[in-house]
Amino acid sequence: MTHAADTCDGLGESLPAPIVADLPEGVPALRTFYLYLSTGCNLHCRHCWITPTFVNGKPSPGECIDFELLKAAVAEAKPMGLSSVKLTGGEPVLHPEFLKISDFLTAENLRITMETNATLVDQDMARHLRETNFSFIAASLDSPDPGQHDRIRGVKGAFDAAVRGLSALVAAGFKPQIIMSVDRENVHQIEALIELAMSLGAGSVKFNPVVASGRGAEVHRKGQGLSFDELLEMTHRVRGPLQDRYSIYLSAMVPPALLTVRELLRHGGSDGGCCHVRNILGILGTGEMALCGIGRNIPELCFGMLGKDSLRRVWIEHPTLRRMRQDLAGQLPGVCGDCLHAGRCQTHCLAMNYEATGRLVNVSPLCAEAERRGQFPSTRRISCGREHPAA
Amino acid sequence: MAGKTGNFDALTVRFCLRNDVGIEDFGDRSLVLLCDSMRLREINALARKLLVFADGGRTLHEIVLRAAGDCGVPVQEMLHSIAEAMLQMERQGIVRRMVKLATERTEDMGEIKYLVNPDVSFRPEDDDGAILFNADSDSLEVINPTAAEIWSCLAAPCTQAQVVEHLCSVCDGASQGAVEKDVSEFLDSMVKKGFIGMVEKP
Repeated sequence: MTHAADTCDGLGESLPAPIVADLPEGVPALRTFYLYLSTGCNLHCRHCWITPTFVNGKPSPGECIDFELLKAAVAEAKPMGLSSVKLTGGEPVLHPEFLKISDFLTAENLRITMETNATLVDQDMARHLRETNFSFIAASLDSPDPGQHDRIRGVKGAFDAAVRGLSALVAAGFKPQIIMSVDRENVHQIEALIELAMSLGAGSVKFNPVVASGRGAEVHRKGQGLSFDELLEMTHRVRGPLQDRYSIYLSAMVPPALLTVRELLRHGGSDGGCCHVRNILGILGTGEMALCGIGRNIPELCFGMLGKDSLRRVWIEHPTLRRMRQDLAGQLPGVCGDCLHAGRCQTHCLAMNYEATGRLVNVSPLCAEAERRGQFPSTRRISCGREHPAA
Repeated sequence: MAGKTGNFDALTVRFCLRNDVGIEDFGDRSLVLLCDSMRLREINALARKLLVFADGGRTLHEIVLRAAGDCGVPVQEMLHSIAEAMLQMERQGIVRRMVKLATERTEDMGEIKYLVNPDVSFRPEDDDGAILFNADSDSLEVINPTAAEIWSCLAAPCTQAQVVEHLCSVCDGASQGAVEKDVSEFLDSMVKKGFIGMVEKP
């Protein structure tokens, strides 16, 4: 069973089976919306891959999903299997109708998860969310040092505000996940952050490497991004000795082929994780339907506009989605085609694959690098050792 | 331990080489590479000859007759050593027996013997455990070292009691009750998932 903390949507594998009506053969259920409620944010994180709008440290909602269009989208998607939504952004709480949207999604009996910076969450909001269908909330803390967190987040006071928000969520009964965006500047603070997370009452900590997308590209250009070796070292440290030492659930996601058996066992023996890309549709603050937030940076990964285009038609017929499904169902490229995790890993993060190679269904950059270095584990190859002669 | 049978129940069983095996011959010795587990076994010329005869069509008794004929030795003189050599190669994962595996118990089974599904690839990694992978169903399980020991034990048919006995002999300090519970749960789970089967009578 995949832990909720190990998936992008916070849902793990515990989704209820949707009732799916009249989808053509080969078209998977549309189970989850990633709702990028707002294109704006009140923080200006140096690494954000979504690049939301920001004005002088003030809440800047940017463009927000039109509530009426969202209602129509939910109505159209439920017969196709919709059973959950992830609220994200930008900062989702900035949406002027955030609470109304939460109530609406709850009334529609959809399971809700959220990624937030937590700085705008107060006790009243936390209590309200607790009474709705929110099952999982993740919030960001990039350093145990307030000054450093504020520098990374681009706004003075961001650390104190995030801690207040997290405390409010814990007081309301949530066990929020803390997400640390890791680069060379803060990688040495991982252990201190775990201790802070435990003291705050968090339920898990996830370590996401800063990716070379959006503003994160500049981090990598400056040589501050983690190298392949550093990323794997961090992952093995988090899922090995640090998980041995701390009782809180720790997550650091790389393709499962690069994890040891012991690390896979620590997480319930599951080799799933990342996202359930075949069953997800992103909706951006602009109302565009997209693969996920990557559509904000890469226009060709936007598939249509709510209110103008039929969501159902987009889901069934858009050539990019159709191609993606065909490619995932067929012989996977490169080392993925010989990997025994491929059926669940599904080439890991398709958005990052596209960013790196221009193809959604392609060998993850991490596995490609491991393969290039001769470090891809032979025990994870279907062909393992079979170049030898038979009797 | 299963397979160490003195009554030669296995004489009517057909054996064949496992499909993940590669062989290199070096004079009177051969090296067998078990590709899935990346382990090497050394076998002698007689065992090598048996592998040629173990084509899935011959019973063990027929293999004994053929090998004894080739060597010009009376069958009774070779019967025990050949049968034992074949069962040894089964335990080592070089050959497998051609039997039907059931996932549900039937009334005529009597004492149940378990056997790993030959379509499942076993990938041990250091002493941390192993990965089981069935390419036909694209299903995968990650198992801990104890479960990996059970898996290795079930390369040849074993009863649950035999597995427990084996585990108790290799696991210092484990209580019999705890081992029985672990074995029972593991077998139930693996049978349900089709990774292990119950041997049907031929």
